[in-house]
Amino acid sequence: MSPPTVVLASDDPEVIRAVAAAFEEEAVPLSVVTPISARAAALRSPLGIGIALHDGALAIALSTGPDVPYVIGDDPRRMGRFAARLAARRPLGVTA
Amino acid sequence: MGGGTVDLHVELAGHARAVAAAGAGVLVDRICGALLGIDPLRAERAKQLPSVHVETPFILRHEDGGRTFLTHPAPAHTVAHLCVTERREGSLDPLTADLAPELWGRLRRAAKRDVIAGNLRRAIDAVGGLPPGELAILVGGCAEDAEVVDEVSLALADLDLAIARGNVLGQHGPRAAVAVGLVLLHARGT
Repeated sequence: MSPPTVVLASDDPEVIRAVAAAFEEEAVPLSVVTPISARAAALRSPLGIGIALHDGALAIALSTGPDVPYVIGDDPRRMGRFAARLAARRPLGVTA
Repeated sequence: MGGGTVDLHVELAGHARAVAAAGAGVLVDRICGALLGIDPLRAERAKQLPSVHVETPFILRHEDGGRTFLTHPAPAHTVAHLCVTERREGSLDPLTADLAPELWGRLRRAAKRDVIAGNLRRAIDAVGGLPPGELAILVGGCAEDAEVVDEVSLALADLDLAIARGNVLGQHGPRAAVAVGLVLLHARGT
């Protein structure tokens, strides 16, 4: 059985370190795979949430709904926090 | 039932009496604002509209415990928040208050019951009560809120009154009843 993780698709050690740190802070499990699209990562995630590079930025994608990134941002730590909170059903702390 | 007062006008057997009780719509706004930690303008909206909790980007939980499953995800800033929703538009206005929609709905209705229905009862008591079976017509801005009409009906059920929402001149809804009354009085030259 797959562990309930969010999937990060990246081979950039800096991105992996920052995103993993955010997930650790939020106590949400993360697994890392080789680079694929955020949507593909979300489809691999039992929690339906994937993170990957998208047009030079980091994108959080969901496994259901329209095939467009749900949130896009530059800061890996911040994006990691958003994805972890999304998985934990906590307010993301983003503004409109 | 206006912003500041609940005014009761009773006309029975040719005798008219009027009583004004302080505390109405604006007081309910203040209570809602204090409970939700928002300004009075947003509180007025929160008072009138239903709320939902955005459980996930695709699931909304309503005040009655029902769920709506969205085909498009809710905006990220609304996730895990209690939101005021405009059903027709489908808009979501996130609030910072950490309240379940079921609890917020009960608190909101309690504020309407305690302030508006409570004041209406005080006013009815002040005029010596109303005969059972009498028709009480609710007018004013508060009467536009179906929840207020429901709460008044429930709270005054023991008085055996027929409670209805007014429709000023048969076309304006419950608003502006006093203004229309003053214009009509002026037109009659009284």
